[in-house]
Amino acid sequence: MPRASVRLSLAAFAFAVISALGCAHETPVVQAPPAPPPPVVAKAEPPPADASSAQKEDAAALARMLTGPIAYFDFDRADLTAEDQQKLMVLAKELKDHPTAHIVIAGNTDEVGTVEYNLHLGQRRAEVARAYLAALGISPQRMDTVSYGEDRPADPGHDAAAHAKNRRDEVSSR
Amino acid sequence: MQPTRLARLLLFPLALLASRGYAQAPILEISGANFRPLPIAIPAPQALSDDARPAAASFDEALVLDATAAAIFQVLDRKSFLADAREGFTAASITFSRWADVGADALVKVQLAVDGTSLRGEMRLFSVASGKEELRLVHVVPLSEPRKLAHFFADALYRHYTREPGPFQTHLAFIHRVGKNREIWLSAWDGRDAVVIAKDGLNVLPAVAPDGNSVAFTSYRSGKPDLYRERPGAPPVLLVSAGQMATGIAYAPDGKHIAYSLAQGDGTNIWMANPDGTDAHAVTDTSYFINSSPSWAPDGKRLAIVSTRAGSPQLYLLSLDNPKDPRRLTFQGNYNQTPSWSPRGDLIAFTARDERNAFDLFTVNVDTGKVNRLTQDQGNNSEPSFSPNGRLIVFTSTRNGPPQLFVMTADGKNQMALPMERGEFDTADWGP
Repeated sequence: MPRASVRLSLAAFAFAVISALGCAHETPVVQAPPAPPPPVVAKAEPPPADASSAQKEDAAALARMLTGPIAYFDFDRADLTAEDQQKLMVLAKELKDHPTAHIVIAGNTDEVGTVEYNLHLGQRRAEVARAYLAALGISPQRMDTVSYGEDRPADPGHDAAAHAKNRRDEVSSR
Repeated sequence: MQPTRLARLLLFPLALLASRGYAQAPILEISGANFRPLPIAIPAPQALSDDARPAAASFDEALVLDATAAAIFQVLDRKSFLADAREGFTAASITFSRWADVGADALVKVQLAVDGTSLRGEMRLFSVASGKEELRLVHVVPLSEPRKLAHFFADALYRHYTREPGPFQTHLAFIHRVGKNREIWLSAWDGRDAVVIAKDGLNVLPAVAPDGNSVAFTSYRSGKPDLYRERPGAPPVLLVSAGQMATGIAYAPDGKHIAYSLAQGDGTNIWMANPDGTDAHAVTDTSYFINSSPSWAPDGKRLAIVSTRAGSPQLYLLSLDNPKDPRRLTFQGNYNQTPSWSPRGDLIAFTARDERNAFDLFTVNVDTGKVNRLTQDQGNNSEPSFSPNGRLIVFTSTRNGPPQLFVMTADGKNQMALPMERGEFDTADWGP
């Protein structure tokens, strides 16, 4: 069970999220040769407006740091554990630090059970996380939800360990 | 169970016409203690020319499959046949005693001929005991579709012996799982002659539309799960885009309404609309709970649904006259799902998780509440869908490893895999 192994303090968890997800998304590991410098433009472009630049930074920061699983669930359940709540608190802080960022919470289930019910169970799992973040002061307008039911497993395996990894909410920036 | 008197009155002239006035065969009782499968001999069809041979092989495979899946026949093993392979095609030229010796009550003979781009088939059905021809049919299909000819003849045999419509010229819609994609396929009843309706991305929970040529389903093509209807060679038509997710579209028996589940806010409710998605309105109105998977009663006045309003997913019957007060139908276990209401009205098939955490198929009798187990100890079995005549059920089984489509009778007998290519297939809907 992944849940038992990631019993971390808030600070340690935040560090883990930043480093692990940073790694996961900075592919390829072997760097390609640097791209050639952009052609010299005769006329300097005007600097981008502050709002748009802040938005880009927020989105980039979230994409770097807060993409990935944010909650795990028991079979046929959609309630948040204390540990899930801690992760969501970290996420809420990041969202407050990056006030223009917009996220999508994707609810997922394991392959066990029936397709349609799993879609709605996944939706419920995503909504539960959104409601928790809203209660922490994040505007619901900044959060979309989607359910993939059993069709986007994190682990393609068919055993109990894989199922546990797949019953999850994942966050991505939009 | 006997067909209703009305159905018999309606079907009798049809059967008479089809059999050109030959004597009627006794009606086979399809279910119940009186049921005895009819021993039938189906020798290989006779190809009247060499160019008919490839089509003859496909035809033969399909006819034997249909006769076997019908579960009203005992299809006799050809290896036991004693008749001369060059035996004739008319009652006068057939040595019926040789067919009687292998236990046949009925004998089916088919001749196939190619005519340009067409395949012409003639089928004759003989009673072995009387030595008389009971049925003669001629039918023409495109040469490229020999299985269609077999399905036509199989339905005629089914109707001859049961006075009921056969299920073999109907269609399946189902999912083909390929990598991350979920494709929608529409096929003949047996999963063959399939066309791909939707290919890329996530497409789930198909339903055959009343025309039998198009499929309605949930697709993520616009980024969120909405309901579409699509047929080959035409652009998709958006039916419902509302809330967070619309799933589980089901057509009313008369085709004049759709029902579906809509996730909106913190609840999922059953909705109804016109077939094009207009005039949409909620049928259930519980917040927080999941109400999903509507299946229509044949009278079009009730729905079987899944609801979590009592804590765990259970089946309920919902009268459209009084939808706020559904009647709970299942009480055993804590995971009862995917109702499929028999077009005959008496049974609702569903998926349940048993005490050993296996998923299996059951029926519940609508009037008595009696539950009957259909599958056991053969992988997980789920997502049942009744044939349009209510006699067979298609379902997903993992008994051979990857999910595959299987068919069986409404009481769980004669379970067999559909003869499909390799791959992962699930959530079949059996429609017109």
